[in-house]
Amino acid sequence: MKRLTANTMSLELGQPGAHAGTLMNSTEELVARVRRGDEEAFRLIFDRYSRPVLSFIFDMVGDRPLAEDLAQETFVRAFRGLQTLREETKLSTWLFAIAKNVAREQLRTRRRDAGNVEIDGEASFELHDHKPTPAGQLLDKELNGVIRTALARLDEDKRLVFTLKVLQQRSYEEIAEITGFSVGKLKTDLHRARAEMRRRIGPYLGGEQ
Amino acid sequence: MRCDDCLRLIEEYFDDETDARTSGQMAAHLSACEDCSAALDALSFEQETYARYDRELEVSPALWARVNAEIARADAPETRAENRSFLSRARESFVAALSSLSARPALASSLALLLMGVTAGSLWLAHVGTRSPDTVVSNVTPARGTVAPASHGPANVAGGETKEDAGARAFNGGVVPAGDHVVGSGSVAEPRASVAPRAEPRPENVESLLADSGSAQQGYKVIDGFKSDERETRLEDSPTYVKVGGEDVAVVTADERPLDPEQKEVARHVERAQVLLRSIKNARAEGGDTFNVSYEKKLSRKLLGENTILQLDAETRGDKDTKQVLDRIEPYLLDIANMPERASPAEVRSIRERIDSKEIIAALQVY
Repeated sequence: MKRLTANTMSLELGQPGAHAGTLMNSTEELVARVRRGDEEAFRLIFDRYSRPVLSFIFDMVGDRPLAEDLAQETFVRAFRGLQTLREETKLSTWLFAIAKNVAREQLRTRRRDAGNVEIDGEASFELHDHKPTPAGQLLDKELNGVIRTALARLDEDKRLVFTLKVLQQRSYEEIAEITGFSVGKLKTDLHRARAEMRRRIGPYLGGEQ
Repeated sequence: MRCDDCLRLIEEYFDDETDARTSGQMAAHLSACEDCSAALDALSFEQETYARYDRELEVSPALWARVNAEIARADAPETRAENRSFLSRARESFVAALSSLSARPALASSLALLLMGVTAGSLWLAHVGTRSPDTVVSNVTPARGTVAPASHGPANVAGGETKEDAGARAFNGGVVPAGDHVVGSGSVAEPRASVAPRAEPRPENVESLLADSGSAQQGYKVIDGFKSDERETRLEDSPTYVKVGGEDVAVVTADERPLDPEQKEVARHVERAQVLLRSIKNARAEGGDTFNVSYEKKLSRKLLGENTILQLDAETRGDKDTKQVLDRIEPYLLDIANMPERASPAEVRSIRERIDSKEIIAALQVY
């Protein structure tokens, strides 16, 4: 009732127009086939998970070309490490965990290089907290920019948890597995992230916040 | 259910993460309470807004092409060449060099003379080497004991095993804490008559051998349970061999193998975890009998995040030894991170007892 089915479906089934064979194969079968050297099976895994993985990485790093590079790195690492995957049913969680590592490594490098994390285009989406604007008057594009800017301003842990829960619809258990955070920590981070996001995009949500 | 309780749990309820009983109570309260129901509606409204968030991202066919190319590149012969054994690469270089020499007879004959000289010199050195007294060595085939370094040091170590190997074995139950007496089934590498004759009485086991060489004072420990076939596998990569009485004998220094960046990161992490555990062990009670562990708690949280990243990295790389070490650290980090900032003596004692009983610090030292 409470979960948005559209997002959940996009997670499980991948992008529209994904390879037709995707729906015919269970995750376990695909993993077993890749392990036997079937390259086509890995293509099916890619088709199924590339979109959510790319979105997740984009939400973490905020840069489209970089997100593509990191998604590529994620799938290459996944291919190389597939032999070590113990629970085949948790392929998606495992992929997200790799994606999280790849994204965090990148963020760490960027922090080292630049002193702080910059998200591209952030400056062009200044928030106007004191001038509430009804959501209905906003173009979708502008709302996207506002959400993206607000996300970029969350600290890394909160952004990670918020993205996984609110945007990717993962369960607390899955988030704990992906991030390695305790459920207590992730609940706290999620609550704070929601509050922060609400404060930042509240004016765009119809003035009720 | 009161409104306070309902609002405290409302996000969990919205996320479908409350148990059936709580969900029932929440549903009952929400149907009767307008304010709480409005809070739930607000969450739904927010979620709908986020559902409209369009990143304008499409997975282009080029992305798969790049992934596929990268995978293929990793399997390509020229990439694999980096991973080929030293011998096969040396053989190829040698063949190439010989073929180029065939065109230059004068140079070839000079090199042949030089080669003969080097061979004669090596044979002479090998002969002298069997009588050299000061190299700490162990037998390749029969010995089961080995030595692992506890800290970075320049000393030569017997056993032909790197510190990574020793650390991994330590977590399989092979650690003997420094200072403990080693009792083993003749497992310790005994020096043979042909090796290292010294003016002093011959040491009986590796500990005394190390004591003689000064390595024991530097924190080296003896680890039992070593299989000879494992050793042979590892010795293939060992950098130095000498012939002693017709047998191959390995001489390995603790720091001969350079660490790659990932291993360095793990080593730094393990070192910081050690510092944390020592800090907990040495923490002193403040007035009022509580322990201020706020620093340890903060450090532990930081290390916990790092630990998780490294665990997954190790798992992805298939580095089981490192994964094992990190798995072993994790429960301590979790417990310390979850301690109150002013911990009671019982809470601190409980962690200290576990640190002692599991000998975790000693185990981390040999990593």
